[in-house]
Amino acid sequence: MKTAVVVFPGSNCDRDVQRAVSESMKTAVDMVWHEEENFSRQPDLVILPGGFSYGDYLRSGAMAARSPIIKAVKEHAARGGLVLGICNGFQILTETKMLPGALLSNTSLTFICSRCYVRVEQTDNKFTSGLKKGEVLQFPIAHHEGLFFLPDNELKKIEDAGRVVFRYADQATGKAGAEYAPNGALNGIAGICSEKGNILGLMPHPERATIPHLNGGTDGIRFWDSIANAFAERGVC
Amino acid sequence: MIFQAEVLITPREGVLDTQGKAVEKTLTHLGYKGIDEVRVGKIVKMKLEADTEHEAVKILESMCSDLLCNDLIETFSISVKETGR
Repeated sequence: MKTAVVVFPGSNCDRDVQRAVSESMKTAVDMVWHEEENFSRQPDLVILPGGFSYGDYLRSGAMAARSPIIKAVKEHAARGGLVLGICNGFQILTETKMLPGALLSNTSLTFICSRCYVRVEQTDNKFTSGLKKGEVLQFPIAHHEGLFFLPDNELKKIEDAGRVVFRYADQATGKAGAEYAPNGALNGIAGICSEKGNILGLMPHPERATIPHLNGGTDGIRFWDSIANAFAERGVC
Repeated sequence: MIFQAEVLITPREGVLDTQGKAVEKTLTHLGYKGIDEVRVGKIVKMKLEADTEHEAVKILESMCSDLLCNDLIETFSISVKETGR
């Protein structure tokens, strides 16, 4: 299995993702500069990492979504390849329209960097098939624009289609919803997938929950294992 | 012809504008009364070469759809003024 991490000017979680993927998933990782027009080795998984691409100018992810490499990312997704956008990567995916919605400023108008809990809402996709539906995981968040927004009718469509993959939750009770979203995200949405389940965007950072002696917990390892196992089951290692 | 163009981008109606709400709250704290529905947007200004005003507007509309405006959450209005040949 091969992974490509796209690096934009202003990405700052690219190395974290590289480390998490290479250690947790034991796969080769190519770091790909955004000005490339193609991947030198065709990846199985493309990751758009967190950070502040182009300084968040105009809108978060707006400029990165028009980078030369994005055409190749779209072609990869159109072939059924996996694309994962974390935090700024999620914002970029919505700006490319590969995922619906937009990420608006947090209701608090502050940058929020904290521990956070999300409930796994569905496992019928290529990212979370190894997790348990309804389980609560601890992933940290660090963002200013994380309020997931969609107009009511479109929000209902993705809810009805079961495309909400992660929802902000209370650790103790396991309840999830808008009241547990630290950023005001509609319906407490922390992550959604595409119709075919091969594109996932989420605001929390699973790559920051992979080192046991740090305080972020290790739930992220289970997320990366889930992806690796889904590939292993198909004979891709 | 050279045009001076201004593109005004504002949050779409119904889209939560947290900046607008914060500004409205602060204005109220300052004693301003009777204010409502404060929205914070942005202006993109540029000089632009085009044969006609109509063409200049068409180019700017294309820029809005390609980059300047996210039509899910924002709307835009364009104004152009000829400044020279």
